[in-house]
Amino acid sequence: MVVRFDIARPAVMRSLVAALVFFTTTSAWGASPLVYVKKATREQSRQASLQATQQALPAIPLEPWWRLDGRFEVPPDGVVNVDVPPSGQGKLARKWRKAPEIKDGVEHRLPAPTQLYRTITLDRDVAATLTFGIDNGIVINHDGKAVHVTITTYIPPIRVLSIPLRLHKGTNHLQITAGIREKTTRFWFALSPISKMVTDELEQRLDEDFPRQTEDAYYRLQTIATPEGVPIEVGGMAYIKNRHGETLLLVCTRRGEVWTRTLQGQWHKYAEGLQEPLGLWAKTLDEIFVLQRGELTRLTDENQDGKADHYEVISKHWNLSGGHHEYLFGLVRNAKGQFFIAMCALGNASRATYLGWISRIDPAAPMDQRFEPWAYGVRCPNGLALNANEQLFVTDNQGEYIPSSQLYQVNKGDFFGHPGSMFANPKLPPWSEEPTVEELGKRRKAAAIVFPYGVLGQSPTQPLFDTSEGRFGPFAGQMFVGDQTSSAITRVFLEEVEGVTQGAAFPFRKGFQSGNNRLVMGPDGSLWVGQTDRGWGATGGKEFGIQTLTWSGKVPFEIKAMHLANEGFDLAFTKQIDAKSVKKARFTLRHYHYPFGRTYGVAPTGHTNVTGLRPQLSSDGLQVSLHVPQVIAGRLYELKIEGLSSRDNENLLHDYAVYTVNRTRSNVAADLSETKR
Amino acid sequence: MNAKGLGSVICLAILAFSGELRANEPGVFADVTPLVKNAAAVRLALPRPDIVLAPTESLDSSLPPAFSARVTGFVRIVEEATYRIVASQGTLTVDGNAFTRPRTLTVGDHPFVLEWKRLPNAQPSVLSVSWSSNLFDEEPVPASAWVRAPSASGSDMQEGRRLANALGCQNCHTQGGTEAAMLGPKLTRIGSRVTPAWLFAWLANPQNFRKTAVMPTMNLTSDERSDVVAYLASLTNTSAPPVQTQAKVKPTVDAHGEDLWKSIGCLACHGSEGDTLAGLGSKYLPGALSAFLQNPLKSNPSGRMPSFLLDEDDANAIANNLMLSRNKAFESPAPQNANAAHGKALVQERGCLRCHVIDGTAAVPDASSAPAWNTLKSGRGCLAPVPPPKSPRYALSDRQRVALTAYLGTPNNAPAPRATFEALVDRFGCRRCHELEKPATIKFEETPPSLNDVAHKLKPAWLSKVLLERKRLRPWMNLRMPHYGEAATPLVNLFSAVMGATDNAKSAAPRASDEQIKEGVRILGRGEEGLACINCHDFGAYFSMGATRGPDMVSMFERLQPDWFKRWLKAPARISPGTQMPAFFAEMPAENADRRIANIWGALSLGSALPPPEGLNMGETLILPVAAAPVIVRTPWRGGSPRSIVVGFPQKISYVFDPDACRLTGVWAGGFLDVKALWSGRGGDPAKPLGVVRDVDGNAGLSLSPKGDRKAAQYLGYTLDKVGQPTFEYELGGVRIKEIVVPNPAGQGLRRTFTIPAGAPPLWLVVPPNDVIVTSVNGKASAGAFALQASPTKDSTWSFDLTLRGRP
Repeated sequence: MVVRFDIARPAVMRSLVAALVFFTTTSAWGASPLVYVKKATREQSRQASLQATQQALPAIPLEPWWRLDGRFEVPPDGVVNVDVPPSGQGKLARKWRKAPEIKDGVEHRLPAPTQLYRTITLDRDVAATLTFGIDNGIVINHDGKAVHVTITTYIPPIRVLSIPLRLHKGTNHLQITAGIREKTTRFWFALSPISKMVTDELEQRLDEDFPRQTEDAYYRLQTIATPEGVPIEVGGMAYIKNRHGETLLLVCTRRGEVWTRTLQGQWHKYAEGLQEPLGLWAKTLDEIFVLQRGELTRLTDENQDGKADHYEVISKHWNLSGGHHEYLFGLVRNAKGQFFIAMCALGNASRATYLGWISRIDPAAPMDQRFEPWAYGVRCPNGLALNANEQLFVTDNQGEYIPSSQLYQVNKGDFFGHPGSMFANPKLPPWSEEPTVEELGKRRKAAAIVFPYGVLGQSPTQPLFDTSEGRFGPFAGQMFVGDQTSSAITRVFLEEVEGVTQGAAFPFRKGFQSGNNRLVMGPDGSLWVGQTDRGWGATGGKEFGIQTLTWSGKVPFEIKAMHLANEGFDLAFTKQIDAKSVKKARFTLRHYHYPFGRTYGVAPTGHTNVTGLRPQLSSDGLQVSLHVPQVIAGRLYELKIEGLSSRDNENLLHDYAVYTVNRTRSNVAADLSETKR
Repeated sequence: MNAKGLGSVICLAILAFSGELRANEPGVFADVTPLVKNAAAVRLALPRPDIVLAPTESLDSSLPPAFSARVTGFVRIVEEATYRIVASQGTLTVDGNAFTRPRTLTVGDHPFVLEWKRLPNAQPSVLSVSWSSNLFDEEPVPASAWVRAPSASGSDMQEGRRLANALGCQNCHTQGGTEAAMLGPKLTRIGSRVTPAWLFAWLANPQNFRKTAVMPTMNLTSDERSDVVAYLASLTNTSAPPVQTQAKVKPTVDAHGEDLWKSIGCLACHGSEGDTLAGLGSKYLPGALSAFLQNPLKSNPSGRMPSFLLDEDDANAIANNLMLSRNKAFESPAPQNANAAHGKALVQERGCLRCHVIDGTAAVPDASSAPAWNTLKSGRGCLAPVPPPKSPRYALSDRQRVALTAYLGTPNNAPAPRATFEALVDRFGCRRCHELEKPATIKFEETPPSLNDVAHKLKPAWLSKVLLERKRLRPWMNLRMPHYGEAATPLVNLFSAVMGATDNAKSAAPRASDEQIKEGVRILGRGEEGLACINCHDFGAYFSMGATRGPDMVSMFERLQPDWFKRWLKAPARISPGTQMPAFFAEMPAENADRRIANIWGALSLGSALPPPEGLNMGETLILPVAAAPVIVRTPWRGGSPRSIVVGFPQKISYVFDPDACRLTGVWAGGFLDVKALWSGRGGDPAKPLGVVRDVDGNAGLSLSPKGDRKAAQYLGYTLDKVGQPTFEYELGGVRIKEIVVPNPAGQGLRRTFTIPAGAPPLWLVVPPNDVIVTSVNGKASAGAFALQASPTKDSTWSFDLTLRGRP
């Protein structure tokens, strides 16, 4: 093991000692091939170490690839005779041909499927790592045995995976089927002689030199005990006061129950027999509204025995077909006492009505005038919020016509792109003809925020404005959005640019136990997260539960806000920045967009790097301006920051932000309409 | 949701009003010239050009097997695209040009000409026209795309043949057509079925009883008639007395019978436009109508009145209602002391047995000779405006006489599948319910499958099972496909012949590999890569998992032609606009779609050996118990409201309430609910009752009239009492009603109690007869409907006990 030092520091001795200790302990079973190179930042150190390690190791001799278009059955031993054209399907005679154009480490666009084959002849065993990126399915065979198989059910953005590959002495046969679905696949491939053991070791070393900052140090995650044997699959939450002024958490569950929990943790069943309520609004025990699939219901306890006994219909104006996708989401209420609800578009339009509609319900109106369709074209709108000005915000889940998950600012009459809604309002005259995808794309109102799919969550749920006035940390007034699939919470900063609401989204907190379905602010300024993953799936793994996030009082070093400026972006930070680090830091900004279409799941395209950012630190040390002479409307601007540190020498807790530009300030580029599609 | 399907429906609706359509009658014309010297062309009106002809067959029985045909009309284009239209035989031009290459056809009707010279050889001649375009894969041109200008010169001859067959002309005028003409009912045991009084009046003038009756008035004096009646009345079932299964005719309408009458399809033939059944109470002996309904084919094997597969109770219920209608003119007793032996001789001599069969009795040969068909002259005999005394008098309209006259003298040169097909389809009334080359004539709430494409869709073996072995696929439909008996046998092959279809199942791809089958099964299921077909389709013995029920998947391979299956999966809305079936495969590259469809087909080919797809609920259950207090669950309900309210009591009795219609949907005894479908996975699908659910309110319930009339009800919610039993509140016709259903304090079953405010208009509880016995506790009973007259001064309550018939 060799240790190189670029920077002479007092730490050298410590490192040297550590390295020697490491050397002696590992020498018993053979020297580790890791060549550790310490640089200024963790990331720089990692890159330098990997490079040095690779140089120190004997290279893997790589022959050029052979390629074949179309399908191919790998022989059991994996030995492909490239001189024999494969038999079977296809109009044209297909032949294996040499493919020097397919270079390792370079992204290619290939027809799907493309077969790749190469032999690797070694004079020793090598524990290698195979890294590849693909936006499609893939099968990798080593000596005829599948070492990796992905069959995707949708087309995500390109995903990068590393798998260990134990190459043996002699001839190895490597065959890859790149692309299983669709017409083409983006694909790149690299084979490194560095094994996972070595990279794990490297991470350990990096942890020693660059201690990790964890989200948990700033926002503590705690799990709330739920009543034994009761599936608290949260469909709605609210904090209320009971008749004695006692504060209670009110929870409705997907199995149709409503529970109360005292601050001391005592649970009590308040109501039951509801149909999958996914919305709850309550102020006091006497004012509880639940949104069932079939109706908006008011619950009251008329005989005051502590259980609801009157289930009063406020509205059931919509029709259902009984399809399980006909979810009703809610529930928010404005100062006039009117509710907003939203219905999934994925129902059966031959019988159900108002699929894909956001609607308003006014309980004060006569029964037949209470329900008013408000806005439409949403797909799976599992989250509503009103801001202080009573502007309505609704999240939507990625799928057909919704290229990536998003957040809408909703005004009356708005249309958001999903055509399922067009046939679901019995009061609208029938559409003269089915609109084309182009027309839908033109008509739809752009989302205030687009959450890049798989990067900032996968299925957003409830948006919640931080009304803690600072008790929940430095983000008062901003929005938190739950995510179902990734068991995470995303943070959103919104601003109005020439009348259009847009803004930036940031990672906030991950590692929850289940799908984060509903959020509510606790009376102490903590964030309560109600969870369920039944049938929907979440990475957390637990079926249901409630967790809380509490601010530790320590301010994390974060990008607090990303403002659109006349020429570029102004980044506001939570802490003062070390001026020296601004020069050294790397700001990477690129823009791209999600093409609108009817396919379920599309990859973003048109990635363009923005250079010449000239980061400028403000005099108060809290703001960095990035210079972008021409910001383009209809694009997502994705920012990554490396190597920036605060004056108290902290690294950024999250180095990522993405800004959805619907309108520019200068209007210079507002007319680049073809880039919108 | 199928926006695409809806879209095309809307497009069609608009097209119907645009000026581009030049033709408005379905079908085409064929001008056919026999390939013999000096032969004249015959114009045939045909629903489509397609046909399969065996070597000896021809386009029409008047034509020889060798002919040259010029088929003309229009191809209706509803979507502009690049089309290629090809005929398997002959030369096809559209807009005057052949399709040497695909070309754009605009929306509208495009004239076409198909020249076909048919020279029979040892093989059947198959003429089929198919098309493909940039919008869809190759498919047979659908029947709806063939249109022709309405023309008075449509074929009278064809209409005459149809009539002659229906009237049975050739039963007397022999040497006529080769199609077997229709026979009347068997008279073997007529004496056990109908009253002598009715027979006597009927023979005098059948059309007096039923305007559309086929039976002519025979040349019989009054005395002869009474002799014939005496003979026929003696034809009874000697081994057993007349059937007496039916309980006494109830004086009121049987609501269950009424329900059946309206829902199973009786109205297709006996609706306001069809054959009236007035006066049946004067015709049938007690019990005989019900016996007839249970098996009409026994006495009338022609299939004109098919069997609706009714059980005894159902048949009794329908018969009860039909028997309520009387016709006094048919009740004057027949003269006594008539001579039955003379009557028998008359029946044998006067030609009755040419159309009717009496087992063991033969006609006297040549006693009733009628001129041979080919010697008949127009305007004479039966066809004369006033027929001579000896002729039977048919009730013919002038139009019918013209048609029959046009058919006279038509030579009979070859069997013609289309003509035979039309005769049978006409007799069975297929087109009344089914779309078959033109829209169905009767619109029901439920739509039976279209037969437009049926020979391309179904394998002949399956068609045979449906027509002859009573196989039925959609048990959830109220409308019933009746059974036509052996008379329907020729249809199995005729469907293929008239649609130009050959059984393509034989040329299907070779057996699928295990891998392909595996993927296919995966697609059917709800797991990774699955399209969750089992959500909407039945799977063998298991119902679909969702609220929608689609045809069984296990029998799909047995039923469907592979080409059709592929077309259906790729573009369901092309075949059935507005279908709930999603176009799963429309968006992916054709290659992927084809592969996946082939794999599904491979899996389906296993038939009953098909392994259960992932997520199929095979009796795994999540039983929700009821402990000390009542339990309320809201769930979609099979055959009920998607927001049904289900209440289970500790007394092991449960009910389901429909808050949309504000009716009691059903009750059952035993266990409460299996909530697996409601609460596991994504859930939201109907919970299943753990007992046999008996219907209660049906389509009636609390009503504004004793007939069960209602206005839209407005459900307002419920209140729980101390025990946790809900009292529902709703408005019906402006009256605010409270209803509570609780276990009957006096014993088994439930008690429902209505509270009606003071001064409310009169209401009725109308409960159709079913397996729940309703008895009024304090209300006044009036058979089938209980009157609930509100007090003018105070709220009043009415209670009814519901007892489950046959409760274990």
